[in-house]
Order: sequence, then structure tokens, then C-alpha cells
Amino acid sequence: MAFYRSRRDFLKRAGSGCGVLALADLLDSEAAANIELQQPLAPRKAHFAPRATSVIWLFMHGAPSHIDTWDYKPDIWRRDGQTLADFDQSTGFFAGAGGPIMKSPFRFQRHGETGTWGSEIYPHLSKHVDDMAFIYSCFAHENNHSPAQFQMNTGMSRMGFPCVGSWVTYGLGSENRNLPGFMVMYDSRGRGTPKSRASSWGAGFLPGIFQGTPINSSGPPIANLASPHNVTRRAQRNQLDLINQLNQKHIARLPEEEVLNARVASFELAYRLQMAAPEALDLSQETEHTTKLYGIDNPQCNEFGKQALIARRLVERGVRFIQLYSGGINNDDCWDGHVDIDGNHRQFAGETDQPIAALLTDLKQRGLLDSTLVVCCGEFGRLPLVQTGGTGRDHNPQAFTTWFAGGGTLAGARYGATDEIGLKAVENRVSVHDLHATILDTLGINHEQLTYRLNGRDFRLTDVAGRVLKEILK
Amino acid sequence: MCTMTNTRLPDHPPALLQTTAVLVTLCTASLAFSLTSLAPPNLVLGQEVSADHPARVKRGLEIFRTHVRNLLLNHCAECHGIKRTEGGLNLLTRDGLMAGGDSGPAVTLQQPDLSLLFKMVTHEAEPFMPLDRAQLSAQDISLLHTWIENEAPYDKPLVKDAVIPSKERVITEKDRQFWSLQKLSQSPPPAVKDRLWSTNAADCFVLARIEQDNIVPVAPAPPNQLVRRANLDLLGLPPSPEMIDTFERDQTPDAWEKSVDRWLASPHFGERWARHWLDVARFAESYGFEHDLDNNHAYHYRDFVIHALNSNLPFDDFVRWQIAGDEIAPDNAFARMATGFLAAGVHNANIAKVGVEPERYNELDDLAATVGNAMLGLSIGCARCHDHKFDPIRQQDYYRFIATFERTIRGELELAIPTANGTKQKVLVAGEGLTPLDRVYDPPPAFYEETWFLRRGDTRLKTHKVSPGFPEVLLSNGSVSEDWNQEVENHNQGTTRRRAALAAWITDVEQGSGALLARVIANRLWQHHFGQGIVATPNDFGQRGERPTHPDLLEWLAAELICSDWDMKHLHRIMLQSSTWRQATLTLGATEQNQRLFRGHQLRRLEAETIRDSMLALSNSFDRRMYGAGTLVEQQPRRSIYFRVKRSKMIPMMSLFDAPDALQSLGRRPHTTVSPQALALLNAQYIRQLAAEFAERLITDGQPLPQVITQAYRETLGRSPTTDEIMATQEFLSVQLQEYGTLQQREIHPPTTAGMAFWLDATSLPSDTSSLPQWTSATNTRTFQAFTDQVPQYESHATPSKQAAVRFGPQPTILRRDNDPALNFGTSDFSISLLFRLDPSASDDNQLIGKDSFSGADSYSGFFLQHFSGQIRFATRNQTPEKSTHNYLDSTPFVRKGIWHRVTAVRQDGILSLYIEDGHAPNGTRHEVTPTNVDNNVGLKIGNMDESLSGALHGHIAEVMVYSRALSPTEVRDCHKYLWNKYLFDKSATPQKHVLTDFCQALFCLNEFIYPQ
Repeated sequence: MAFYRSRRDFLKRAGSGCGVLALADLLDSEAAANIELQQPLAPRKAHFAPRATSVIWLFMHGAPSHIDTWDYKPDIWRRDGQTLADFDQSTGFFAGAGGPIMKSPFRFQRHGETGTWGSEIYPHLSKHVDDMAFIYSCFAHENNHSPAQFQMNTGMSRMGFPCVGSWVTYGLGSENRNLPGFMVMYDSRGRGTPKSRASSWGAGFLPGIFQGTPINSSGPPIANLASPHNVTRRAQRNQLDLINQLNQKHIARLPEEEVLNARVASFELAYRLQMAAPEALDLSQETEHTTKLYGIDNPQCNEFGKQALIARRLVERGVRFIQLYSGGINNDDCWDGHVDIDGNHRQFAGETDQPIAALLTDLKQRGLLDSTLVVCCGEFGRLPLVQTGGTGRDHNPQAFTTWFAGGGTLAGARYGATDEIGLKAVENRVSVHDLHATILDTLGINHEQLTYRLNGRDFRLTDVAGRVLKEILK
Repeated sequence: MCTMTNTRLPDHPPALLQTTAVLVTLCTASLAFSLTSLAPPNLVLGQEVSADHPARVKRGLEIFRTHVRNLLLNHCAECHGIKRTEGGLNLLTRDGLMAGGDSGPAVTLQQPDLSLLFKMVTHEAEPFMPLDRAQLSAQDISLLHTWIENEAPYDKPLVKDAVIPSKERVITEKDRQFWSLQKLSQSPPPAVKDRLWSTNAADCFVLARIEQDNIVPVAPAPPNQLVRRANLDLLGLPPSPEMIDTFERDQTPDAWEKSVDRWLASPHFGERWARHWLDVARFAESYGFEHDLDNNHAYHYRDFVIHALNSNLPFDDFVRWQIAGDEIAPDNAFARMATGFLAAGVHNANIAKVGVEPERYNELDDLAATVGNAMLGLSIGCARCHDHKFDPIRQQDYYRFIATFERTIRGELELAIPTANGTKQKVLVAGEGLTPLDRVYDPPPAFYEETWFLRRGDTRLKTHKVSPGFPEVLLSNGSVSEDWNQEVENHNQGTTRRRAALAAWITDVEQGSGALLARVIANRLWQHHFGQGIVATPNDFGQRGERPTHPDLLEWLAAELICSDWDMKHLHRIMLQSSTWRQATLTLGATEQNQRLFRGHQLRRLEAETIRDSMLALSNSFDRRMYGAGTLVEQQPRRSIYFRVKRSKMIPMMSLFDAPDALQSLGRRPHTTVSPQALALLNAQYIRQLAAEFAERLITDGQPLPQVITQAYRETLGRSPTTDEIMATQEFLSVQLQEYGTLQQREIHPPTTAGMAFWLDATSLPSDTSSLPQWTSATNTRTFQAFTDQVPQYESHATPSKQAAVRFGPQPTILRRDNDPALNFGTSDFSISLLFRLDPSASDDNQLIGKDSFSGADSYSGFFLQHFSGQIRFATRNQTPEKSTHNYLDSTPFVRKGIWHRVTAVRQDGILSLYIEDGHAPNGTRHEVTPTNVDNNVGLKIGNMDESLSGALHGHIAEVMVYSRALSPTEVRDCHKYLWNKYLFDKSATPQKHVLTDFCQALFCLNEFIYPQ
């Protein structure tokens, strides 16, 4: 049913003025009319047939070292200890702290039919390399975490822009009416948020409903989900009935104000959400086999394991976009191995390897991998040099590895390359905008056409750039 | 045909010459489309050409005619010349080809392999061309190769009449004639048929337009609706029933005028309207990014805005001071506070060396964009990387504009604050010559002494230095930016006075952009009063913005503002007193057309702040104190404008109802309707608390139920209930009563004593106790000795359930116990529960309990529980002279002074957890970095850990339970329930009050409550 007499009418009344104009032009007007006021998360049709309907984004926060994980560079062994003559000391964060070339402390081995090189810190994940599409030639622009994380999440290294998940739910809505469309899980070991904090899932200038909903790791999973002290469910139902009854009398006096009906519906939805959200997060419904698969019995990876399993449950329930962060806010508490790459990366790979491998296995055996895009990356890479004063590596925005799996990406695809020591992406370089364009493409969205007008300008996730990496798509 | 002159070049290759500055100039001047001779010149600008040049051009032309022309047309020209000029490259003519694009020359003649164009089509360079399409065929590529090898000639442009747009956009008279950029035009109010309807001239403009459609305006709203609407619109608070009664009874002809004046004189007016401006000013009190550092002195800007609006500071001064208060009125503290506008944006405090310069340009961009949007409704920021795509703002204008702020930085000054009785306080300001704020890492230069024009906005692509200036399209009649330099008087010595010049220009109605400034603010006021602006895009008065629905009205309002010496309250009065504003809500025909005509009152939702403030005003805890530092505690009792705005910790309820994220100027908030809002209204403990307080206030008078119900409706909705509504409500109350039955007398189950080290319980002290030189555990004989002169005091009826508690402070008050083996936890588990209350006059730093020392020992390790700024911190730490490792776990801000709070801290297996209030789940957890030894090196102290005695507790503690083991979540919950039932449960609460709370909360949830008519 159309809530407004005309699309124009809707646009005039929508809170953000012409903000949704671009979207309404692309999608059919009724769906557009639902966006702002009625059901902002109602599912909407994509620009073209999507490969993926959901995204699980595994954000290895703090920036894993590509050359110690997937981007095998024998030269760093051969040239271990040699000074890199023409190295630009302003590349990393600590200008001047770039020491000689340092070999990886980890053994590398070929895996799968694709013979993909992988580091020993991924014993589980390396069994899945044939399902993954690797991009070895990613680069970023910023050499510090929060701007780089803004860039990875929003395309811009400044604050205030919507995250990929916000753009996606703005464009497509969500399949589940009882759950938020964009959900986020960050460190549940008490190590804090990502370094870019709540902006990591912020909607920027898009309406607030498109921001990610962080799931609390314990207690009520979403804010205000539990009824107040002393209010029984029955009492709350009575209260809601009174609200409805009085609202209906009010609506009878103002029969043309559709937003009033929408608000009545939002209360009913809230009532249902109180049941739906705990159900979605209730891992006691899973078999022991499954929980073991995710390593929930293993104290090192149980927390990330639970989150990975919740991610699968959310996908099953039609949640559009899920982001998981590995690691907390402090350098030692995330992949930011400035001091000791060996200890740091062993720890964080240990926390995530089994859960991520389990997620791929589980999605595949349930037939969900084809329609679920799994993305795994950090915000940049790390230098092939030692950071002076320790055995770690400083930031390197010039090269890092991203892998995709499922969601219509080409299993076994290998794209791009870094130079012989992994300092710079040199072959088929892939920008963050390209990654974003590709993610949107798998969801059936043309990244040049998903726009939002603010203060006179049509903004895009991919700004004025972005190329869909057709090479890694089926 | 071919004559070589300096002004005319053939449209084919000048051999051996790349794109030099000379050539570009000549190309621009050349008649690009004259078909020229095929015979090439032997000399171009004095340079030799090779002997085979003519032959190669001939060969090139042949390939061009037969193949390349179509190839370019089919694969390239659409984006590079016909529809757009992507990347600044226009391939329609050879001049365009040779001029190249943003990335430099497109071709290197004779050397196709070095040519960027060739590299892109062969996918050697990015972006690969044609963009997002299949690569050209090998044959096409080979032909292109040969063509470039052979001088890449054109016989004629790809399309007829192709024009290469000048790289530098020229501002034309037509540009200046765009409606918003013109001088003010004055047309008298139009004639109307209905001569009685209009109250003032503004009405005539509205009515004339309505009458054009042969319809009539809507009748005035009933008085009670008008009073409620105005009170919410002007003050952001619901009117009292008495206020409505008074107005309804007032039969004098100027009753409405008097009321409007009263509202405009209320101090709450500034608190309400400041929020609208703070949205536009992207105001926040922290700097964003990873560290999101607080600026504890930024709130003075918010106080400036409140005060300026209340005192009706002329709008031109309001603007001038925000841009250049330090230069214009250096001795005026308000003018200095106003510059907080420039300091309110984000500020990255942790930058690597290479990031310093780009970050500085980002800060300048924030200033240009915010000044542009907020004051002029222009998206100046869009011209950072290229000329504005739609508005006549050139990239050159942009860089000259940011050069105005070149040396402007943030800093802090000590000022005598007028809103704080002239006390000296630190204030965040902006200006020149200030000491820059600290950064976390690598203090860089805070500014650069020159501003460069940056190609594509990239600091690596500097082209030339620029001097400060203003967008040319807003300089009238041959004025130049420098004209305003002389107009600056009252100088603050030692600054460049560039911003003073900007302030003079921006408010100059004749030669500068004053007319636009007036239009933009008049439209903002109209929008907030009527639900929609005359221009529907308040931050965009450019090409892509909406056109005014009532252009003459907007001109008239802008002129009224200017002629009244920028008197803002004059404009408010015009709008509020108008018949247009007083129309009733349309019950039928609420169409878009009627809204565009401003026919009938437009129903719209209250903003986040007004929703909360309305509920707060109805409760009995509303604190009307104005000004001063804000807080992050959502439960705080002051108006929402006094929330501290921290970019990484926005107040959840404000964000939920669409409050902005304070990162970019926002002229119009979205109004979403989503279920999390309903969840908050139904379930948030704080809202439940406000409803309970409202219920309590209603039944204090002991009136019979029907009257209580009527009063509740009058206070929330500004009207009496209908008979139907009274019946529905009574029915609800009786059903709820049945549901709850009689509230059982709470049974008090004592907490577990397993593993308990000691238990201090104020209720076990003899009732004749007065002061406590020592406090002994009720379960064993562990005694805590007073350590300072000030001794804790016993109070027998301190808590809501009239139970005893022990008072600490205001002088430092410490109880201490040393060397107790039972309190030596080592690195193993322990738990501490306590019930406390901070005195309303307590500071923001209160230590509760701990084993820690700031000065007593060089090396120690321990733990503490501390309140600071509404949060509880549970810390364990290890301190040696060389190194300190600490584990800080901070709760969400929840502590309200004057209110009792429950908190439990647990360490289990090196994981710290904090439980607060009901304690359903940990409020937060944190792993210790390394096991922290909580031994007996220092004693356990209550009331203060610091022997310098700063941060001592000023408040009460009723009970302390310490365990040498970790409590389970269930045990914590039981313990908190015990504390609630014993100390906090109000025994006087009746089932009637409980169900009335349900009803009051239901009223808060009604559409009518947040959609005033």
C-alpha cells in the first residue's frame, strides 16, 4: 500500500528533505516511500540481480601483517637484516623507526589444490583457501588506525560518513522485520571498541536507523530490550493496548497523517523484538557438534567463536550486514604488532582462525555461502622491516591482503601482487573504493548510483572512484 | 591556408612540444575548430621538427579518419567530452587531448608506450579504460599506438561545435542573477481579497498565494493548542495547565502578543533555540578520531549561543563574533567565547608526520564548509578538488576562502565568564597566535604560513600560493576581496585580521554577502516555526537546492531582519504573531500542496531534546539551572542541551531520536520512526523513573482518581480527557491492579556470607551512634579506624526506606585497615559490593574504596573503585618508579549526585567486571594485562586512597561487602536485590502508584505527546 499520495509528497515530507531523492529515483517509489518514515528497513529491490544477499565482514582490527599471513615473500628471508636503501622513513607511523628487512617468524606452506601460500598461524583457515578469493594488492591512504579505519568502513578517512553497512541497509533494507539490518560485534573480552570507536558503525549523515547496532556480549543484547523492573509481560501488553487505543482515537481525528500509523506499528514491532533478538542470539539452540566446530570449548577462541556463530544465525534470519571485529582499542589488544609480531599475531590468529574456518564450513554445509559474502581484511598492512626497538612491524598503507569468500566471488581467485618484499602493491593495485564497489556489486548495487544528497552534494560510498573487481567474481 | 601566427595554431601537432605552459595558453587562444592545412609547419615556436613530420601526420590523419575517430567516439567521448569531462580530460578536440587531464598529459607524442592514455587502455595504469567495460580489442589498441606514434592528429573535432570549456570557470552576470545571490529585492506585501485575515505583512504573502488557488486559510487553532504549540516551539517544554487557563481567560485583544513576548523573554527560549544553531555549527566538545580527546572548556561556546539568543544579540554581531570575535572585540569575553564556533569541529590529535599537512587542509576544509553551509547556505566545500559542479564557486575561490583561516588555530584562554558571574575560567577559543593544543603524538606545526592551491585537493599537487579572498560571485559591482581589509577597526594587534575582513564581508548587505546571510537565517527561523522552510533545503541555497516557495516573503523577511538592525526576536515575533502560524492543524487535506502554501499547521515530531525535556519537566526532579559544564550521564536532571557532546559517546536517547552526530553542519534533522525508539520509551529505566516521579507528583495532592487522570492529561497533552478517554484509563488502571495484585511486602534475603572477608552494615550500628572514629564489621571484629581529623558521621534515616548510612566529607574522611591477612588477595579473585550516594555538592571525583597509594610508597600494587564524571572506574594497578601497568574498567556514565547507587566489582581469573544498579549483567569487563598483586603493601581505605587527600568521597556509604572470592552473576544480582529491598524500596509505594506510573508512561508514548497540534 502506498502511504503517500505521490512520491513527490513523500519527498517533501521526509525529514531529510531531498535526502532520499536519489534512492527513490532508483528504486520503485513505494519502497522508497517506506524508507524514512514507515519501515526504513523494509526490503528493497537491488539495481540488478544480486549474487549475495548478506555480508559478514571480519575486520582484523589493528592491521594484520600481510607478509606474515597470506602474502608469502621469500625475499624477506633472503634479505633478512639488510637495510632497504631507498626506504621512505615517513611510510610508517613512527617516522624514522624503520629498521632493516625482517623475515617472517612464521613458516609458510602451500595449501589446497590452488597451492596457496599460507602462514602456520592459520592451521584451520588454510584448509579453506580453495574457497577464498585473495586480493594481494590492496592499498590504503592513511598510515594511522582511526583514519584508515574510517576509510575502510566509509571510503573517507575523515569522520562523518556512512559505513558500508549503513549504505547497504539504506539501499536494500533488511529481510528480517524484527531485527536490525546492520549488526556489529566487537571485542567481548573487555578490550574495548575498535580504535575508530562507535564511528566504526556510524551512519554518518544517513538517518540514524541505518547505523549498526552493536550487540552486547553479555546481558540484554540490545539496549532497552528488557522490560523495566516490576513490569510483567502481561502488564506491558496491557499498557501497549492502552497506548494503541488512545492513539486510535487520535488518528481518527487526523486520518491523513500516515506517520501516526507508522508509529503505532513501531510499538508493536518493538514488542516483538523483545522476543526475536534474544532468540537470534541464543546459542543453546546449537548442537554440541556446531559449538565445538567454532571452538567455543577452547578458551583462546571461544569469544570470537561465539560471535562467528551468532553471525551465521543472524544471516539465517535475514540480517543484511554483520561486522565482527577482532581485537580491542589498545595496540597490544589488537593486531597492531609494533613490538612483537610473533607473539601478537600468534595470539590473534589463535583467537580467530578456528572460528572463521568454522564459519566457512558451516555456511557452506548449510548452503548459505553462495548467498553470503564473507570479507576479511584489516585497515592496512605492515612493513617488511623491523620496527626499531623490538621485533614488530610498523604500519604500511601501501600494501595489504584482503580475502573474500562466497557471495558470488570466484573461489580460488588470486588477484594482484606486491613487490618482491611486500612493501608496495604493484600489480593490479586495488583501492579501498574498489573493494567497496565490489562488495556493493555482489549485492546487486551499482556503486555509482547509490547516492544521498547532503548540503547540495550527492555523496557516494565510493566518492568519485571505485572499480568493480570483475576478476574475482563468478 | 596555413599561416603561422602566434594566435592561430593548426589543429594538428606542434611537433616535439609537450604540454608546456606556453602551448596551453596558445591552444586556448587558438581557433580550435578551424580545419587547417594538412601540410605541417616546419617550425613551431622556433623548434625544429623532424623531416618526416609531414608524412607522419598524414599517416596519423588517415588512421584517425578511418578508425581512431570512431574508436574515440564509441569508447571514450561520452565521459571525456560529450556528457562529462571525467578526470578533467576532454577528447573532443586535439587541444583537449594535448591539454590532458588532472593526471597530466594524456599522450606523449611519438611515444605511445609512455602515454598515459595508452597505458590506461592497455591496463598498465589505473584507472583501466574504458572504465568498467571490456578492454579494447588488440587491433584497436594497435591502431591507437600507431596513431600516437604519428603525432595523434585530428582532422576535425569529434563532434560538431565542440567547445573545450575553459579550465578556469568565469563568473558571469548570469551567475550573479541566480535567485539567492542577487541583491535584496523589495516588493511590497501583495493585495489580498480577505483583508481581515492577515495580522501582519508576512500573512499577506502567504494569503495571496493561497487565494491564487481559490481556497482560504485554515481557522485558528483552539487556544489550548496554541499555547502548547508555542511553549514547545519557543521553549521546548510543555506549558503548565495554569498557563493555558490564564490565556484562555484573557479576553484582551493583545493577549496573544503579550504571551509571545513572555515566551521570548523566558531564559528557556535560548536553551531551546541554541540547539537549532548548534546543529548547524556541528558543535561538540571532543575532537573525534581514535582518542576522541575531551575539551573540557568547549561548552562556553554553547553558553554563548544560549546567552546571545536570550539577550537578542543582533544577528550580524552573532555571526561576526563567531568568525572573528577575537579580532573585532578582543576585550569582550562573549565575543571570545563565540569563536568556539571555529574550534568545534573534529581535530585529529594523533597524526604521523606525513599526515600533518593533509590534516591541516582537512581542518581548513571543515571551517570553509561549515561557514559556507551555516551562514551562507552554500556548499563551498564542494570546490575543494575542482570547480563546484553546479554553483558558481571556483576551486580558486575555495582556496582563497580557506586562506582566510590559514593561521587560525584552537587554543585556550582564561576569561572572566559573564555566564558564571565573571569568574575566571578556561575557554576553548579560536584565533591567531594562540598556544596550540597538545596532541597525543608528534606535535606538528599547528598551521602553515602559506596556503596553496591544490590540484584535486591533494597536498602533493600544489600549483600556486593563494591570498585570502571571498567567492567572486558574491562580490558585487567590481568589488574585490581586499576592499574589506580597510573596514576593520578595533583591531586586536598581532593578528592578520583576515577573519575580521571575512566578518565584515559576510555581513555587508550592499557589496558583500549580507543579503544571502539574511535570507539563510530568516529561512531557518521560518523552518523551525512552520516545519518547513520557504526554501526546503536550509543548508543549500545553490543550484541543487530547492527554490523558495514564497520568494517575495523571504525577501521581505530578510529585509525586515536587516532593517531592524538584525533583530532576531523581531523576526520571531512576526512569525509567531502571524495568522499563518496560528492556523489549526488540517484534519483533512493535509496534502503536499497545502504544506507548500503553509495552509494549516503542519504536524511534526518533537526533537530528541524536547521529548526528553518534556518528560523531565513533568517529573519532580527537573533542575532548571542554566549554563556550565555538561555531563554524559543520561539520567542527569538538567535540560538536554546540557549534555556534554562527546563524539564517541553520544547520548543514546538523543541519537535514537535523530540528534546529529556533530560532524558536519546539519540544517534539518531527519525524523525517523523506528522500533528502538519505542523500546526506549517502554523499557528504559530512566524513562520509567520519570514516569514514576510524574505519578508521584500527581497523587501528592490526594485528589480522587478521576481528577488525577484529568490532571495527567492536562499536563502532558494540554487538554482535558474526553469521557471515552477517562473510561478507557479507568478500565486500564483496574486491569493493571488485578495484574499486579497487591505488591508484596519485600522480603529481605541477606547476601551470601561464603568467602566474605568483612561486611560493614550501617544498620547494625547502635541507633544512638553519632560519629564513627571506627567502624567494625558486623560479622567479625574487623575494625576500620578513622585516619583523618574528620570522622564519619552516622545518620539513622538517610536512605529512601529510612535506613541508616554513614556520611563521609565534605572534608577528607578516611577509614583504614592495615595488614589484615584476610584482605591480602594476591593475584587471586575478590569482589566488593557497596551502596553509596554522592552529595549533590560533591565534586566530579570521588574515591570510594581501595588499596592504593599515590604517595605513600614508591612501589605498590592494588585496586580502587572511584567515581569520576558520572562513571565508576574499577582499577587494578602495579606501580614502580620505573613503570606503571594499570587496568582501568570504566562503567557507562550513570551516577547522579544525590541518588543512591549500587555497584559491585569482581575480579575473576584476571578478568575485571563491574555490575551497576540491578546488575542483570556486567556493565563492562576487562582482562588484566598482567596479574596484579593486591597484597597488603598498602592498607584498605574507604573514603579516599590518596594521601594527598584530593578526590575524597563527599557522600554516604550504607553498606560494604568484601569477599575474597569472585561472586557469580546470580550472587551479584541477589546482592543488589538485597540492597534495593533493604535501603531503596519505598515502603509507601502502593499498587495504585505503580499502575499510575504505567499510565503516565503510556502518556509519554502517545502520538499526541510528541506530535503536538
